[in-house]
This record gives sequence, structure tokens and C-alpha cells, in this order.
Amino acid sequence: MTAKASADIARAFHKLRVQARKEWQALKDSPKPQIFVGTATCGRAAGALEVRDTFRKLLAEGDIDAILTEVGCMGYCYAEPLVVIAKPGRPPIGYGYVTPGVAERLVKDFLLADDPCLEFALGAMEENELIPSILDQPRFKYETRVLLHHCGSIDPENLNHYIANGGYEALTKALGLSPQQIVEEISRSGLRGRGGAGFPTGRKWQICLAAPETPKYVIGNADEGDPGAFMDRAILESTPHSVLEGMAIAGYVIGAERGYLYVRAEYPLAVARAETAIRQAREAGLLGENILGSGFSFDIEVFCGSGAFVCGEETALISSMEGRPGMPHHRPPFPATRGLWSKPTLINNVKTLALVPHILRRSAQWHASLGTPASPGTAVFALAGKVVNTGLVEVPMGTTLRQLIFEVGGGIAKGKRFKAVQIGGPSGGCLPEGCLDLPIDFDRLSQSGAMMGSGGMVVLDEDDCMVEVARYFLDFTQRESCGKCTPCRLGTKQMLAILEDITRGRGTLADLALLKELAEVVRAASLCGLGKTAPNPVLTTLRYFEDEYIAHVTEGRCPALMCHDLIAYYILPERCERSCDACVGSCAVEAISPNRKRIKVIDQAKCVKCGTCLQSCPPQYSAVVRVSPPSLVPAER
Amino acid sequence: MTQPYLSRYNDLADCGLLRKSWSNKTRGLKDDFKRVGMELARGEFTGPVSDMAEMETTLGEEKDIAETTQRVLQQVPQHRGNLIPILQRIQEGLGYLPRSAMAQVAHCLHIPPIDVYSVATFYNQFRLSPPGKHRIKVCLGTACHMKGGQIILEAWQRRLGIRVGETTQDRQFSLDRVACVGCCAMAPVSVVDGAVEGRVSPTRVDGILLGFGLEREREVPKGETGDG
Amino acid sequence: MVRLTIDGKEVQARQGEKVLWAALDNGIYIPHLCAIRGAEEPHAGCRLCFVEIEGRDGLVTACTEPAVGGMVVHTSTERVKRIVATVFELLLASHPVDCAHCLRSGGCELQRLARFLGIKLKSRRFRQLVREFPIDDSHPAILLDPNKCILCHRCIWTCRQRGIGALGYINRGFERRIGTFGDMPLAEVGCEGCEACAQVCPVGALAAKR
Repeated sequence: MTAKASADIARAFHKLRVQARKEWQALKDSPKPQIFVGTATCGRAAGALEVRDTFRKLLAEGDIDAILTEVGCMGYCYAEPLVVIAKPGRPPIGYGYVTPGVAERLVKDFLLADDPCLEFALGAMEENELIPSILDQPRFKYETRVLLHHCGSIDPENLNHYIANGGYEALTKALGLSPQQIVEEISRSGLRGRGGAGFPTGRKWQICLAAPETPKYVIGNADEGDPGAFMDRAILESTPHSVLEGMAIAGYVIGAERGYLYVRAEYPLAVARAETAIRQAREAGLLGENILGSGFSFDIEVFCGSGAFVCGEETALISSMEGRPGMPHHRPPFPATRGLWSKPTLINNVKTLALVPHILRRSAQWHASLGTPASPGTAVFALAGKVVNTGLVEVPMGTTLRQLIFEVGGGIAKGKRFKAVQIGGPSGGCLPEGCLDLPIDFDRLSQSGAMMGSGGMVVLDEDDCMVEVARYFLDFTQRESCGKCTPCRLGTKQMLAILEDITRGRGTLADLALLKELAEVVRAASLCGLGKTAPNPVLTTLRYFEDEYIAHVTEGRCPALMCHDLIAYYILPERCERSCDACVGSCAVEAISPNRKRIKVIDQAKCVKCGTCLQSCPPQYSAVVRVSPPSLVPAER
Repeated sequence: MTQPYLSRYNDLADCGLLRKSWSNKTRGLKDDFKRVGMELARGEFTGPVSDMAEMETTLGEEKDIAETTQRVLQQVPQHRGNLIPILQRIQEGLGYLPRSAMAQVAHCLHIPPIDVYSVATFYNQFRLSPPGKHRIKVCLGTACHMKGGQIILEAWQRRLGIRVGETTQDRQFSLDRVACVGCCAMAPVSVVDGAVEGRVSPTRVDGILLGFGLEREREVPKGETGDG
Repeated sequence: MVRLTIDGKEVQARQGEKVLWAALDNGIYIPHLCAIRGAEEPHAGCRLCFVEIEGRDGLVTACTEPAVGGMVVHTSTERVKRIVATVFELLLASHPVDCAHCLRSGGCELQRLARFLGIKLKSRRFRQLVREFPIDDSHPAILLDPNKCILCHRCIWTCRQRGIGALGYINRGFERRIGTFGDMPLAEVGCEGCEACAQVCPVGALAAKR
């Protein structure tokens, strides 16, 4: 590339950036108050759209001059719907659990009067002297936001917001470098694939760059099938352009003209926002023919996955894009040399692709300096389960599980005791308290029997039964097995049958040995990653929580009082209040009735064990208890 | 070692069963598929088996199916790689994938009809029978499961009197399970007519259904009887 | 041509030929059900042809492994035997073992493999998880019993090679089966009754009625 050509590219981009910065600065400096509503899917689930509409209505009715902007996911999913209000002269303040009622108060008291309604506030969004900032919370000591940096602060449907914050600078820079230089830069950064297995990204790109056949393809994998991970969705819903930019750079490097963004059909909002972003990028000349006048052409299409976990596996993903059932093939040949339509295809997780622009813009050294030497960079986790602060977190690799769960996550909800953390979804494993000081990185997690996987992290407390957790994941993988290879199709089914027997109190000690043996065989003999990792939840729970399995098998008892068939609900007669009928009305199957003394009794034959009575019993009585085994319920006198 | 265990059929080429090359046959192949596809498209089939067997379509529905399928096939380039997008669009229009639509797709893409059926039965997204007017999907992702998703599913089943994957007799409600809708922090989650409901309890299930009941009462003017 | 050693015997193979075929051509048997010589890509679904190769971690499937000069292959180490036996038992546990009434009995590859591996057909180690799909008896020449199918892919491949394409997979996972479009009777989906599928079927899932 000549110096003139790269100067032309820089000039073309500069024009876009000037425009974008002007718009962004105007927004920042605006004398009008600004309202940001987080309307990603998680926010919508909590009612963010109603909140947004309430704001809209009130602003229109009161003829209030304020700017309402929809932003993506801020990561504090526990407090959704989230609203940030920035009023000139005050720091921006974040509000959580906003309802239409709260929205009304915020308009009346804060926008019209000047009371910031601190009773609803989570805190100020930046350091200041007036209002405590959320940045003072312990989680921010550990969090380093790279991928999530713009999530929730920019409008995902506005290209200028992205460009004004450094977006597409990396692409501009890349177009002035040779593909080999970029591969070297990525290799130096130590970036490893964020899809779970942690394959070095630079090496993958090198293989694909070296492949002689053309055309080549780039696929951004957002087929986030792990039932407990949602960071790919959040990134696509919050900063879709970062993924597109990464894909365009990848396309330039390997010499592809076509890219596909493979998104689950279950994420309609992510699909819509990605499509909007693609359209905007095309209009700005950042995608399509002759990008920024560089002569390089690259376009992206969204492909909606139809709901098959196995399609996260790259060869299965390719099968589905070719209009076939998502069945994996034997590797090698790897897709990097022989992929979509038998052509060299680069498949990267969208998180990996979204990291690429950051690395090119800042430097390989910057990325390599984050995290640990073997696993540089940050890791995004979807914290869920029995932890206080559920949501998305991004921490440098090497952070310990304890810091992540107890400092960033705020510990276990409702004062319960920590029991285990499930990492990596159906391919990962359950780690006990003894592993809490384990630093998180690809290799350490694998050694412990778990896996980085997709980054789903479900925290389990004393009320969660580990056998049931293993059964749940096996049930999932068994359902999602494509059925091509014998060990996965039949082995997981057999393992599930054994686990079902155990959770129903029909297992034997011989079953435990058989389970272990089957797990080893399925792991060793399966064709693809789904089968090879499917036994991990079973193997880790057997390794760390064998006593729970034995309690189920030998005593018919579920220590966590969770397994449906091994528990019973019972009303303690000495605690039951004669004048209270809360449980009777709440029971969906009319299994509870008062006896002669007006003490409520559960008809065990009718009870479906839904637990509603336990919740409806007023706390001052707490008469409803769960017992295991069910034989502990005394016979009625 | 002699070869007593070598199967007679291991080597298909030696069995004389195979044509030498695929290309010789390609033309005939397409014609064959075309023929089968046409027969199917014309409705000259009477299959007794399968989940779809009970499904009877009225003439009006047949027309709708043919038109929607035709429209989609005109919008999307007819290429094998577009099979899934084509099926997705047809399902978007019709709510499910009728057999005649799948046959028509196979015919236009020049692929065996079974290949379309394979895809339609492989992926969770596709359904072969019409959904109810209101579609309820219960999330059974990890977080939802640990927070009682199964109990919510049971509550729906109990209240609607149907099992997962079924539609109520009056075609008002259909119930499905989904692996994860990515709202784990709001667990347990149900998706009701596309809107995500977070932190659902059995009582909330009753509440949602009550809401639909009221809505329907408003729709059915007094004096007429509702369809139960 | 390259030279490699399989079970201590030096054999010759074409460069890039899969180890499975090199072994079979030299009279060394490796259990397998889904491999098709001449197929463009190995199906690699039955997971029975595991071998150990010196210098490589873990087991590899012989049907996918290209022969390389100097390669040393072992087909029946303890590890191979254990894994292959378990995988085979899994197949048996989901196969209705009703040989007395099966058209294929005597020519059934499961029977032969059981004898070769020294495994009883009625294994009691695993739970019996047989499927109950309807049997298609509609065709005058061919009987289709998807319950017996072990999903080796041979019939589908053959049917396609012959340019018919009446057979394919339905569903996925444990519910996966061979079948026809819309689960229609075989007689109505363009099957020409050439019986090629019945000839390649290793079990009694597709059987010629004659």
C-alpha cells in the first residue's frame, strides 16, 4: 500500500469522525437534561419499555425539553430496569428497579423540580463530591471493562456514537497495514478465542491467511447456546459495531469479501440491532464495496441460527449455514482450511472479534499486559443464580473465583451458604468452596475439571442439589445432541437415565461406578466438542460432591431438599396458626385442608410439591417445612 | 488372520451397487426430485403416520400456505444455503411449517423433500403443527431451572391442561420450552406472546391467564358464548 | 505408497489412504459400521474403529486417520478394547435384540461384531432404552424398521448415490431416526424398490422382503 493510498483512507475516515464527534459533543454539552434507558432484552424483561414509554408520554405531556436515549445493557441486570439521568450541573445518576411510577416521580421531582430522588438511585455514574458514586462499590475495584466499556453508555443504533468513542479507528489503521503485520500484532497480544476452548486467535488467522483457496469467509459466532450465558447477546444489543469492525478487520486479513454474523433466532433484538448496524456501516462506506476508498470490499449478512446448541461447534455451524441439519464433521480438515462451501472459513466468537479493534487501536502490549501471561486480557462472565449482583461482569483473567463471586457479585443472596459455582454451562463443571481461590484462566479452569466455556457462571447455594444440577445439564446435552455419533447419542441418554434414577431414589452404588465409566467413554469417544465435554458436569460433581450422590443412593435423601421425589412438604402442627388459611388458598391442587383442630394438613397423595404453601405461610409462623426423605412426615393421627 | 468377520457390505463400490460417478446421474437426479416434489406439491400424498397426520387443513388455509410459500421463495434467492432462512420466513408467515410448503421448497431448491424435513425436524425453532393464538415459552436455562423453572412449567401445564409442545383444544394457547432467552438475571422467565416476563411465580401464571381471559371476554360481545 | 505397521505387521498403503482401509486390505480387522469406501468424507459416527497410534495422545478413529509412512498402529490395546466394547454395548442396549424374528439374522453385523468382541447380545450392564417408532411395511419390496437402525448412514448415502434420495434423517439426538419426507410410507416417496439400501444395511432396519 502506498503512502498516498493510506493517507486517502485516513482522510475519508477523518471526515466521518469529525461529523460523529460533533454530534456526540453536542449531546454531551447539551443544556437539556438527558435520560438514558437500558432497553436490551434483560431490561425489557423487567419492564424497560413501559418505563421508556412513561418517560416519553410525560415529556410530551409536560412539554419538557429533554433528550431520551435508548442504550444497551449496562450489566447490572439485578437492578433492571435501569435509567441514567444526566442533568446539567449534576453528575449523571443511575437509578435501578425503575417502574413507571418511579419514572413519574423522576420527571416531576428531578426534571421539573430539582430533587434527584436519591432514594431510588444506585449512585452517581462518575466520581463527584455531592453524591456517592457507584464506582466506589467493591466490584469496580476488580472490574476492567474492555468489551463492555461502551455497553450502556452509547446508543447501539447510532453509528456516530460508536465512531466518536474510537470506533472504526482500528479498521482504518488496519487498512494501512499488511495482513501479515496484523496477524503478528494479534499473535503478540496473546489473544485467545473467547468461544470457550481458548485457541490462539493469531494462529487461527495465520492458517486461514495461508490457505490458498478462494473465496474465503468470515463467520462471527453468536450462537450462544449455553443456557446461562448472555454476553454475546448483550454485546450485539449494546455495541453491535464493535463486532462488525472486528469482522471487517478479519476479512481484510484473510482476504475474504463476505462475512456472516451467526446469531440465535432466540435473540430477536440482537438480530435487529445487528442488521441496523450493518445498514449504517454500509451507508457510511465502512462496509460494502471499496471500504473507505481502500479497494478492499467486505460485506456482512446476518444468519439466524434456528436453535441447536450443537451449532456452536464450528463444523455444525457450517452445516447449518449450508442448509443441512447441524451435524459436526470430523476435524481435520479444520474450517480455517476447508469450511463453508468447502472454502477456507474463519470462525471466531463475537467476543473475540470485538476485542480485535481494541487491540489494534491500543496495542498488542496493552492487551498482553492485562490478565495472566498464558491467558491475557479480560473475561466476561454472566453471573446468575444465587448471587446478589446478577448480571454481566468483566474482570481481568487471573481474578480469583472468590473475588468474582463475593466482591464483584456481592456474595450469596439471602444470607445462604455458598455451595458451588457452575462455570462454562453444559460443557463446564461445578467447583466447590475449596476451589474458590483458583485464578480464572483457560488452563487453570480446565485442570480443575471445569471450563471457561461461554462464560456462564451460575452460583449455587445450600438449597441446590448437585445431583440435580448434573442431571439438569445431562438432560440438556442429551436433548441437544445431534445424534450422529453413538457415544453422545446413547451414552448421554444412559447417563441421564442413571441420574434420573438417582434423583428419584432408585439408584444403586453400582450405578455410580457405571456412571463414572460411561462418563469416561463418552468423553474419549465422542466426535465433537459437545459430546467430549458433556460428562464434565457429572465428573466434577462426582469428584467434589460424592457424598451427596451417596446420600441419594443409600438413604433416599436429598441433602439440599431439592429432588422432587425425595422430599415432602409438611406443616408443623405446633407452629400452624389456627386462624390462618394462607396456605389453603394458595394451594393450586387443593391438597391442604384444616383438620378438626383447624391445624392445616397436607394430603401427600394430592401434593404436587410446587412449594407455593411454603412461600405463602406468613413468616411469623413459618409452619411449612420441607423434609427429606418423605418418610419423615409422620403418619396422620 | 482370515477375513471371516469382514462384512460383505463394507465396500459398497465392490458390491456393484454404485454408479461410477455422481455427475452422470445429476440430471436424472434433479428430475427425480422434481417429480417427487411435484407430486407432493400437488397434494398427491396421503401419509398415515407422523405428528402431522392429524392436521387437517381447509382449502382456504391451503391457499394461504401456497401463497406465503411462493412469496418467500420469490424474496429469497433459491439456493441450498438459504434453506433455513426460507423455512424461517415461511414459519414467520404461517406460524408453522405445513408439509405442502416444505414440499414446495424442496421442489424449488432441487433437493430431496426429505432434506427439508430433516432440517425442519432437527432445529428447535421449527414446528410442524399450528401454534396457539397465544404462545407461551418457558425458559429452562440454567438460572431459570435453579430458580424453579420446572415448577413454573408445571404450573402452566396444570393451568392449560396440556403438555410441552402441545396446543390447547381451542387453539388458544400453545406451550413450549426454550433453552435460554438470555435473561438469566430475571429468572425464572416465561415468554408470553414474544414479551419476556421475568421473575414468574405460579401465582403470576394465574395472573397472566386471567388477563387473557378478561381480554377475551371483552372481545366476545355479551350474549354470544365464548369458545371456552 | 507408504509403509506402516499395524499390530506388528508391516503393510503398504496409498499415501493419504485411511488407516481403516489399509488394515482391512491386509486382513487386519478393525470393527466398524459406518465407514464407506469411496465416500467423499468419512461419516465417523459409529465410533467403533478406534486405534492407538504411537506418538499420539488418546485414541483416534481409523476411518478418519490418513496413513503416513512409518506410522505404528495398534488395533487392540486394552484401552481400545474397553472403549469399543462400551460403545458397542451402548448400541446393543438401544437395539431391539429380537434375532429370532429378524429378517437380517445370520447376516447381521451386530451379531458378528458381538462375536468378534466377545460380548453377549443381551447385555445387562446398561438400561434397555429401545425406541418405539412405527414400522413402515408399506413397500412391496422393502421393510423399514427405524427402531433397529444404528444410524450408520450407509442407506442414505447409497440411496443418494443412486439418485433417488427417498431416505434421510428425522429429528435429532436419541429421537433421531431414518425415515421419509413427512413420515410418509416408503412406497409413496419415490422409492424405486432397488433394494440397494437393504443390501447395505448392517442390521434389520431396512430389509428386502424377498
